[in-house]
Amino acid sequence: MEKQRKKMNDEPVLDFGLKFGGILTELGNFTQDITRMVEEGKTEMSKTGEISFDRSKKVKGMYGVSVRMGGDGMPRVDTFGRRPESDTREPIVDIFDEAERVQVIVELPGVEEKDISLELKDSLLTLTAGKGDRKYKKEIDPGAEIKGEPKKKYKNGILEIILQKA
Amino acid sequence: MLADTLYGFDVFDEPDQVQVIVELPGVRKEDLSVDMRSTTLDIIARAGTRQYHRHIELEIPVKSDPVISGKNGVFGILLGKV
Repeated sequence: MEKQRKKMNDEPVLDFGLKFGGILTELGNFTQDITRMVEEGKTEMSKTGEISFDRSKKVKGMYGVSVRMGGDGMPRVDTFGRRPESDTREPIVDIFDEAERVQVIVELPGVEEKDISLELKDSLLTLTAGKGDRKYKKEIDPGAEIKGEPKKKYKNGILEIILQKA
Repeated sequence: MLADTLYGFDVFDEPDQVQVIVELPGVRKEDLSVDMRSTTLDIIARAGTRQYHRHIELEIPVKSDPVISGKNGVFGILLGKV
């Protein structure tokens, strides 16, 4: 495989319940799902919950988590969607660890390129995008020391970021 | 596939038309096809490894000539009411 998915997840899977607290009750027992995933040999899955904000406004949010199995059998847990108390969504992010660079793919449907900003500080990338009622924010840990400025390319709702390893 | 489960759609019931908004990241307008059958709508898109299929029950009779617009992976489908 030319590109390899980043192996690790930010927190151990068992911390999941603590991290997501109340949302977990809507999503069910994820740890069990991960176990089943391993047994069935699946490489990715996701689970979502729907959150109603205010019925009169017809606003509905979606929040969920996705789990993908790395080549080493370590699950990588990620969150996406919109938290109930926020109008900012967490986009879906894929990180590919390559020899000299890290490629990050972010799904950002519905924003303009000029409304995307990236800030790199101490090898941690903060992405903010969108405006008005469509906003995204995500902190991305590339898992390596990064030098220089991130390069970005946005097309059809998908952002590609290239980070040079130090 | 995973991506297919993450994005929803909105349906707006307006006086003369129904507007459907779908998020399909990675999709260009020309990758999109809409299949109308009475009050059901199937939105199908293929772009590289990404495939999307949205099946929407409108419960409102609409004309079968949808007008599709959109960019940056978000599309609006306008359907005139019968």
